[in-house]
Amino acid sequence: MRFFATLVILLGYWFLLSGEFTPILIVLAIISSIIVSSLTKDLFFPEKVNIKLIFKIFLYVPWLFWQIVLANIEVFKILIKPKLDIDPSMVEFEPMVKSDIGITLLANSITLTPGTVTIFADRDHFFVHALGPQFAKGLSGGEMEQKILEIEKCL
Amino acid sequence: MIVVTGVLLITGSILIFISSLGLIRMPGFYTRIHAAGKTDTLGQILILLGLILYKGFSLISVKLLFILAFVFIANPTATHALAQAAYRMGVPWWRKKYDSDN
Repeated sequence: MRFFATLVILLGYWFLLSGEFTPILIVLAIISSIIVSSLTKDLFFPEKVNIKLIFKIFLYVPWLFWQIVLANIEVFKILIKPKLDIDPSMVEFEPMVKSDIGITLLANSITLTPGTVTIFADRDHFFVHALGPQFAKGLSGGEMEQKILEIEKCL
Repeated sequence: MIVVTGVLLITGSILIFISSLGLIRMPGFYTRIHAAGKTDTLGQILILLGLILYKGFSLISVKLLFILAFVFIANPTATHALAQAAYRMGVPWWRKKYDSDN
């Protein structure tokens, strides 16, 4: 099952990038996809593919996108001002999410929204560097973490 | 359509310019990472969106969409790797109190 899922994705990606359908290329695509997916079948997917989880993550992405736009505007306001109005701080908190996928999502989402960088992420500690108190405010237990907790429930 | 593309490209370029400016103006390593690694994201998104609109629906615009997705994954990962490396090496972080240091 995992083998075929990887195979289909690799083949689709190959044809997407090449855009050509001559017989030699199709044969090459199939051969190389079979080799690669037999080697990496346990890399891309966990033991069972969870459709609901993937769907939830797809719903999460537009919301994250909007947060990025809002936070970008905040940072640009700071950068444009003649006097730099920043008050950096290191925030440490314990994440509510405990699964690998939740921690990865949370850490990358924090880094992706401007004003905050995840410096260290782990099951017990999150070190986050924030440009100012207004960015550090909603980190622990904020809206973002609630959404990721929702995603985690589908595991 | 070409007007929309132009507007998106110009706004994206201005945003990237401002974030490069921030790279120079910010004090200390960790604050510079904010400007260098992340505020770019919106600029890149706008430029790629402009190019997608310009090409219409074709194989090229699908490829551009993929670049967008990879930027979303690679950008925070690289920034995080840089920040963590600096943290492990004990790079000091700039605080408001020590204005005169920089």
